[in-house]
Amino acid sequence: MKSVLRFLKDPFVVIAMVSIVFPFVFPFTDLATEMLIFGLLAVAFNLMLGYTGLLSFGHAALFGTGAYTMGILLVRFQVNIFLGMLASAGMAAAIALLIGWISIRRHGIYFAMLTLAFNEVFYFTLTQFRDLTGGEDGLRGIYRPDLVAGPASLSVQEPMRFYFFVLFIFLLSLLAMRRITGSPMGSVFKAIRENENRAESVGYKCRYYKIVAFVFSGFFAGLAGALFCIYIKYVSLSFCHWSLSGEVIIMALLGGIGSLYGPLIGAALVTLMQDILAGMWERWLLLLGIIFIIFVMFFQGGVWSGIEALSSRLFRKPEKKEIPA
Amino acid sequence: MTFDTTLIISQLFNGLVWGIVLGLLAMGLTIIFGMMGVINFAHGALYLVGAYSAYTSIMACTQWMGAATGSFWIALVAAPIAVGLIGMVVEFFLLRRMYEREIIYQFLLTFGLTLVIQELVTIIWGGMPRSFPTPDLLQGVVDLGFMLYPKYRLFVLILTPLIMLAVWLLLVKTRYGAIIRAGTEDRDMVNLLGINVRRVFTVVFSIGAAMAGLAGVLAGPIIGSIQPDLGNSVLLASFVVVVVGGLGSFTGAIAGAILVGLVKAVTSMLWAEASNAIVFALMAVVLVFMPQGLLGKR
Repeated sequence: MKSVLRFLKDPFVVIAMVSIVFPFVFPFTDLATEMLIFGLLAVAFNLMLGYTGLLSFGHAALFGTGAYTMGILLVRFQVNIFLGMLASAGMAAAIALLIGWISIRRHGIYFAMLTLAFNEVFYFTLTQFRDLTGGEDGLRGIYRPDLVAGPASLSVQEPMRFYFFVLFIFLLSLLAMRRITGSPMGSVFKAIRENENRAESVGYKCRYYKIVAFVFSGFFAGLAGALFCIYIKYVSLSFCHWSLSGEVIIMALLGGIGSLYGPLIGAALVTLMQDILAGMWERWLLLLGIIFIIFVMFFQGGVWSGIEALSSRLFRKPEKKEIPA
Repeated sequence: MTFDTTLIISQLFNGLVWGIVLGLLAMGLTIIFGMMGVINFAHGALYLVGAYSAYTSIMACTQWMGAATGSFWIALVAAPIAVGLIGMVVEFFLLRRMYEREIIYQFLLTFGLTLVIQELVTIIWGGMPRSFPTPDLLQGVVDLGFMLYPKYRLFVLILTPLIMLAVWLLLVKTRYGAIIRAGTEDRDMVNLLGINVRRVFTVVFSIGAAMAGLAGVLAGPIIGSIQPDLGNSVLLASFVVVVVGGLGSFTGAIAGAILVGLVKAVTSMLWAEASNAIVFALMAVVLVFMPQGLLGKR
């Protein structure tokens, strides 16, 4: 019984269970799918900001790379869905490597400015390869392939099925990212966030670790882009616009950058808000901006730290003294 | 392909004009950064507010006074003051509470502000582009002997360095400027000497904001029509300028701005669509080979 309880207290298990039940309670399956995809993007983003202390304004480029790669592979080569996603994530990781290699040379805000600039360069580059990307018209003719080709095809056309397909990829990615952040390398990431000079003097090559964090982050951001591409069956330049990078930052911060799972909550909230408000009021971003400012000023832990505080109150038990780190 | 020499020269002049307007923005950015260590993401938004409030004040003055003659000059003073006041309010109510936090949170705060300001501008003035009039006095062209050049751009080319000089003199030659520069070096020490550093911060942020606003007014007639996404590209460009020139360095900001303006002018003659990307590439090159910027402090 005790082990079951401990199992239930693992946030990953809770999130998995909630997201399995979610589409049956929440009647808007498409919206729920979108929440998962942006959740994945926000968690990937947070590998950098939350774990390594690197603020990237370039995640729209990575997300867009994933989406465009998937779209182009589908339109031109009718690629297998899993192969396509792997290629998209890999491509985004490669772009992350390129952007990271240069941007990592500067710290803090300079780094953020550099990633922002590269996002712009990337955006421009895409407009130039019109016959490949469709330019301003976007990439059309994308379809959602079956999971298994042939007579025994496993279709994901139906929204509920697609949700569970996305959920499968999502949970796998989340597990992978949990493994990364929990590994010794994840500890080095955190050490860099806390004090880069100290980490360097202990003997870690910070530059190398920062690039690795960027590449991992890019991989999963690209995966999110690929999923979004087959979800919406369309890719446009707006996927790469830096305002999407900004939106991801907002998601991560509202959810809470202090944990792996916080950005997920933020992504779900922002996606939900967008869906409800955008129809009612064209300038809903004003509201989002104000909420964002309030969170930056007063609730830096985001929603997640509130949930944590609540749950620790609920499950209070005679506490063992923890050894201070 | 043949190139007309006068065309090239006038393009270079255009680059210079654009560079000098960017320089004004970058100087504001640098002053704020140098003093408070904050990179103001909302700088582009303040520029936007500068342009729009100038537009409104021009329209209002034209309505009251009939002819549009004096209205631009009023806007040239009123808009930066308005933006400076906004900066003061922002510093006093928002940024001030953030100084103990990590720099990244201050940056994120100004990012949120950008969103809010841009949406507010869209709500107040609408999303449609509005045409920004050139003052009557400065319409038309001037014969420079070797070419004809728009009067207004020439005016910007002369006025802006004067304003930069004035700000520079304020910072270098006056007592108040000495306090500001001392605050840059050692905030706590200045505080111990009995000077209210918090108030100095408010003033500095407001000066920086006013410079962004002024750049907005000056750019208005050059761009011709203004719309709510005006601030974004300018923000990116001024980031490039400060990174290329070296953050915190005055001369760096100005030199970087002129360099960026000229590069942009040259590239837009050769490959117009790529000019933005090439400017960013320039930044990348500078960062790889001269991480401190061209004239930055080490």
